[in-house]
Amino acid sequence: MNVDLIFKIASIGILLSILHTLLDNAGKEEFAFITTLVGVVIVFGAVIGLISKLFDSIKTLFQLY
Amino acid sequence: MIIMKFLGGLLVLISTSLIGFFYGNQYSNRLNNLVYMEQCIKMLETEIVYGAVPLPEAMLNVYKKGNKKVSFLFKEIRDHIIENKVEEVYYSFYDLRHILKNDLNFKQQDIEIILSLGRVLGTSNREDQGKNFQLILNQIIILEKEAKLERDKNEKMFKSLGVLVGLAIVIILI
Repeated sequence: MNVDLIFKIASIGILLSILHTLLDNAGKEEFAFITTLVGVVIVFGAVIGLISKLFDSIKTLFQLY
Repeated sequence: MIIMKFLGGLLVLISTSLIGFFYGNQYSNRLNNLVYMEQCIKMLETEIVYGAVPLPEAMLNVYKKGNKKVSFLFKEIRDHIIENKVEEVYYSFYDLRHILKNDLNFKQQDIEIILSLGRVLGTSNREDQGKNFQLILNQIIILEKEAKLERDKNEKMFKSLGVLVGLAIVIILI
Protein backbone atom coordinates (compact mmCIF):
# COMPACT_ATOMS: atom_id res chain seq x y z
CA MET A 1 0.00 0.00 0.00
CA ASN A 2 1.35 3.36 -1.01
CA VAL A 3 1.07 5.77 1.91
CA ASP A 4 2.85 8.60 0.10
CA LEU A 5 -0.21 9.19 -2.06
CA ILE A 6 -2.31 10.01 1.01
CA PHE A 7 0.20 12.61 2.17
CA LYS A 8 0.35 14.07 -1.33
CA ILE A 9 -3.41 14.43 -1.52
CA ALA A 10 -3.50 15.92 1.99
CA SER A 11 -0.87 18.53 1.09
CA ILE A 12 -2.69 19.42 -2.13
CA GLY A 13 -5.84 19.86 -0.06
CA ILE A 14 -4.14 22.18 2.43
CA LEU A 15 -2.60 24.22 -0.38
CA LEU A 16 -5.93 24.48 -2.20
CA SER A 17 -7.69 25.73 0.90
CA ILE A 18 -5.05 28.45 1.32
CA LEU A 19 -5.29 29.40 -2.37
CA HIS A 20 -9.07 29.52 -2.13
CA THR A 21 -9.06 31.88 0.86
CA LEU A 22 -6.37 34.04 -0.75
CA LEU A 23 -8.25 34.46 -4.01
CA ASP A 24 -11.53 34.94 -2.18
CA ASN A 25 -10.06 37.76 -0.11
CA ALA A 26 -8.64 39.39 -3.22
CA GLY A 27 -12.15 39.49 -4.68
CA LYS A 28 -11.56 36.95 -7.41
CA GLU A 29 -14.23 34.41 -6.48
CA GLU A 30 -14.40 32.85 -9.92
CA PHE A 31 -10.67 32.10 -9.93
CA ALA A 32 -10.98 30.62 -6.44
CA PHE A 33 -13.67 28.31 -7.75
CA ILE A 34 -11.58 27.36 -10.79
CA THR A 35 -8.50 26.54 -8.68
CA THR A 36 -10.59 24.34 -6.40
CA LEU A 37 -12.00 22.55 -9.44
CA VAL A 38 -8.54 22.06 -10.94
CA GLY A 39 -7.29 20.66 -7.63
CA VAL A 40 -10.16 18.18 -7.48
CA VAL A 41 -9.41 17.09 -11.05
CA ILE A 42 -5.72 16.62 -10.26
CA VAL A 43 -6.47 14.53 -7.19
CA PHE A 44 -8.94 12.45 -9.19
CA GLY A 45 -6.28 11.91 -11.83
CA ALA A 46 -3.96 10.62 -9.13
CA VAL A 47 -6.44 8.17 -7.63
CA ILE A 48 -8.39 7.05 -10.71
CA GLY A 49 -6.03 4.12 -11.33
CA LEU A 50 -6.48 2.90 -7.77
CA ILE A 51 -10.26 3.20 -8.03
CA SER A 52 -10.35 1.14 -11.21
CA LYS A 53 -8.14 -1.44 -9.50
CA LEU A 54 -10.62 -1.54 -6.60
CA PHE A 55 -13.52 -2.21 -8.96
CA ASP A 56 -11.53 -4.90 -10.71
CA SER A 57 -10.83 -6.66 -7.43
CA ILE A 58 -14.50 -6.39 -6.44
CA LYS A 59 -15.43 -7.98 -9.75
CA THR A 60 -13.03 -10.86 -9.20
CA LEU A 61 -14.09 -11.24 -5.58
CA PHE A 62 -17.78 -11.69 -6.39
CA GLN A 63 -17.05 -13.39 -9.70
CA LEU A 64 -19.01 -10.88 -11.82
CA TYR A 65 -17.28 -11.55 -15.11
CA MET B 1 18.30 10.98 -6.53
CA ILE B 2 16.56 12.65 -3.59
CA ILE B 3 18.98 15.56 -3.87
CA MET B 4 18.08 16.07 -7.52
CA LYS B 5 14.38 16.08 -6.64
CA PHE B 6 14.97 18.60 -3.89
CA LEU B 7 17.06 20.82 -6.16
CA GLY B 8 14.48 20.74 -8.96
CA GLY B 9 11.67 21.54 -6.55
CA LEU B 10 13.66 24.43 -5.17
CA LEU B 11 14.29 25.80 -8.66
CA VAL B 12 10.59 25.65 -9.56
CA LEU B 13 9.66 27.29 -6.27
CA ILE B 14 12.19 30.11 -6.68
CA SER B 15 11.21 30.85 -10.27
CA THR B 16 7.47 30.98 -9.63
CA SER B 17 8.03 33.13 -6.53
CA LEU B 18 10.12 35.55 -8.59
CA ILE B 19 7.46 35.71 -11.32
CA GLY B 20 4.82 36.46 -8.69
CA PHE B 21 7.05 39.03 -7.04
CA PHE B 22 7.74 40.95 -10.26
CA TYR B 23 4.11 40.79 -11.30
CA GLY B 24 3.03 42.19 -7.95
CA ASN B 25 5.74 44.83 -7.99
CA GLN B 26 4.34 46.36 -11.18
CA TYR B 27 1.44 47.79 -9.19
CA SER B 28 3.53 49.59 -6.58
CA ASN B 29 5.93 50.74 -9.31
CA ARG B 30 3.06 52.33 -11.20
CA LEU B 31 1.86 54.16 -8.09
CA ASN B 32 5.36 55.41 -7.18
CA ASN B 33 6.05 56.57 -10.71
CA LEU B 34 2.71 58.39 -10.87
CA VAL B 35 3.58 60.25 -7.67
CA TYR B 36 7.03 61.19 -9.03
CA MET B 37 5.44 62.23 -12.31
CA GLU B 38 3.02 64.47 -10.45
CA GLN B 39 5.89 66.17 -8.64
CA CYS B 40 7.79 66.65 -11.90
CA ILE B 41 4.77 68.16 -13.63
CA LYS B 42 4.25 70.49 -10.68
CA MET B 43 7.85 71.64 -11.01
CA LEU B 44 7.41 72.15 -14.72
CA GLU B 45 4.27 74.17 -14.04
CA THR B 46 6.15 76.42 -11.66
CA GLU B 47 8.97 76.86 -14.16
CA ILE B 48 6.60 77.79 -16.97
CA VAL B 49 3.79 79.71 -15.28
CA TYR B 50 5.72 81.62 -12.62
CA GLY B 51 9.29 81.54 -13.90
CA ALA B 52 8.55 81.99 -17.62
CA VAL B 53 11.62 79.89 -18.42
CA PRO B 54 12.02 78.65 -22.03
CA LEU B 55 10.89 75.06 -22.44
CA PRO B 56 14.27 73.28 -22.93
CA GLU B 57 15.74 75.00 -19.89
CA ALA B 58 12.63 74.30 -17.84
CA MET B 59 12.86 70.63 -18.78
CA LEU B 60 16.51 70.50 -17.78
CA ASN B 61 15.70 72.11 -14.44
CA VAL B 62 12.97 69.57 -13.83
CA TYR B 63 15.41 66.79 -14.67
CA LYS B 64 17.93 68.13 -12.18
CA LYS B 65 15.45 68.70 -9.36
CA GLY B 66 13.09 65.76 -9.73
CA ASN B 67 13.43 62.13 -8.78
CA LYS B 68 15.72 60.61 -11.41
CA LYS B 69 13.53 57.53 -11.75
CA VAL B 70 11.00 59.59 -13.68
CA SER B 71 12.61 62.93 -14.41
CA PHE B 72 15.02 61.41 -16.95
CA LEU B 73 12.01 61.57 -19.26
CA PHE B 74 12.23 65.34 -19.32
CA LYS B 75 15.87 65.23 -20.29
CA GLU B 76 15.04 62.85 -23.12
CA ILE B 77 12.28 65.17 -24.30
CA ARG B 78 14.61 68.15 -24.14
CA ASP B 79 17.31 66.34 -26.14
CA HIS B 80 14.71 65.26 -28.66
CA ILE B 81 13.44 68.82 -29.06
CA ILE B 82 16.93 70.23 -29.53
CA GLU B 83 18.18 67.51 -31.87
CA ASN B 84 15.20 67.04 -34.14
CA LYS B 85 13.64 70.49 -34.32
CA VAL B 86 10.13 69.04 -34.48
CA GLU B 87 7.36 71.56 -34.94
CA GLU B 88 5.38 70.34 -31.92
CA VAL B 89 6.49 69.12 -28.51
CA TYR B 90 3.85 66.43 -28.79
CA TYR B 91 6.07 64.42 -31.17
CA SER B 92 8.84 64.35 -28.58
CA PHE B 93 6.39 63.04 -26.00
CA TYR B 94 5.01 60.56 -28.49
CA ASP B 95 8.49 59.20 -29.06
CA LEU B 96 8.76 58.23 -25.38
CA ARG B 97 5.61 56.18 -25.01
CA HIS B 98 7.43 52.83 -25.16
CA ILE B 99 9.62 53.94 -22.23
CA LEU B 100 6.50 54.96 -20.32
CA LYS B 101 4.88 51.62 -20.98
CA ASN B 102 7.80 49.22 -20.51
CA ASP B 103 10.13 50.84 -17.99
CA LEU B 104 7.73 52.78 -15.79
CA ASN B 105 4.78 50.32 -15.80
CA PHE B 106 2.28 53.00 -16.81
CA LYS B 107 -1.05 51.94 -18.20
CA GLN B 108 -2.58 53.24 -21.40
CA GLN B 109 -4.72 55.84 -19.61
CA ASP B 110 -1.71 57.25 -17.73
CA ILE B 111 0.24 57.47 -20.97
CA GLU B 112 -2.61 59.31 -22.71
CA ILE B 113 -2.71 61.92 -19.95
CA ILE B 114 1.04 62.43 -20.04
CA LEU B 115 0.88 62.71 -23.82
CA SER B 116 -1.86 65.31 -23.51
CA LEU B 117 0.69 67.41 -21.60
CA GLY B 118 2.74 67.40 -24.80
CA ARG B 119 -0.17 68.84 -26.75
CA VAL B 120 -0.46 71.73 -24.32
CA LEU B 121 3.17 72.74 -23.89
CA GLY B 122 4.28 75.67 -25.95
CA THR B 123 1.04 76.11 -27.84
CA SER B 124 -0.66 79.01 -26.07
CA ASN B 125 -0.14 81.71 -23.47
CA ARG B 126 0.84 81.20 -19.86
CA GLU B 127 -2.60 81.42 -18.25
CA ASP B 128 -4.00 78.87 -20.62
CA GLN B 129 -1.10 76.51 -20.02
CA GLY B 130 -1.50 76.98 -16.27
CA LYS B 131 -5.14 75.91 -16.49
CA ASN B 132 -4.22 72.91 -18.56
CA PHE B 133 -1.55 71.98 -16.04
CA GLN B 134 -4.17 72.07 -13.28
CA LEU B 135 -6.41 69.78 -15.30
CA ILE B 136 -3.64 67.29 -15.98
CA LEU B 137 -2.53 67.31 -12.34
CA ASN B 138 -6.11 66.64 -11.24
CA GLN B 139 -6.35 63.72 -13.60
CA ILE B 140 -3.05 62.31 -12.38
CA ILE B 141 -4.24 62.54 -8.77
CA ILE B 142 -7.37 60.60 -9.71
CA LEU B 143 -5.18 57.98 -11.40
CA GLU B 144 -3.01 57.79 -8.30
CA LYS B 145 -6.03 56.98 -6.17
CA GLU B 146 -7.06 54.30 -8.62
CA ALA B 147 -3.51 52.89 -8.73
CA LYS B 148 -3.42 52.79 -4.94
CA LEU B 149 -6.67 50.84 -4.78
CA GLU B 150 -5.41 48.43 -7.40
CA ARG B 151 -2.10 47.96 -5.61
CA ASP B 152 -3.76 47.21 -2.27
CA LYS B 153 -5.96 44.69 -3.98
CA ASN B 154 -3.48 42.91 -6.20
CA GLU B 155 0.10 43.23 -4.98
CA LYS B 156 -0.15 40.95 -1.96
CA MET B 157 -2.28 38.48 -3.86
CA PHE B 158 0.19 38.07 -6.73
CA LYS B 159 3.16 37.76 -4.38
CA SER B 160 1.61 34.97 -2.33
CA LEU B 161 0.07 33.41 -5.41
CA GLY B 162 3.53 32.92 -6.92
CA VAL B 163 4.83 31.06 -3.87
CA LEU B 164 1.69 28.96 -3.51
CA VAL B 165 1.52 27.96 -7.16
CA GLY B 166 5.19 26.94 -6.97
CA LEU B 167 4.43 24.79 -3.92
CA ALA B 168 1.48 23.21 -5.71
CA ILE B 169 3.60 22.33 -8.76
CA VAL B 170 6.31 20.82 -6.55
CA ILE B 171 3.82 18.73 -4.58
CA ILE B 172 2.10 17.48 -7.73
CA LEU B 173 5.39 16.56 -9.37
CA ILE B 174 6.97 14.76 -6.41
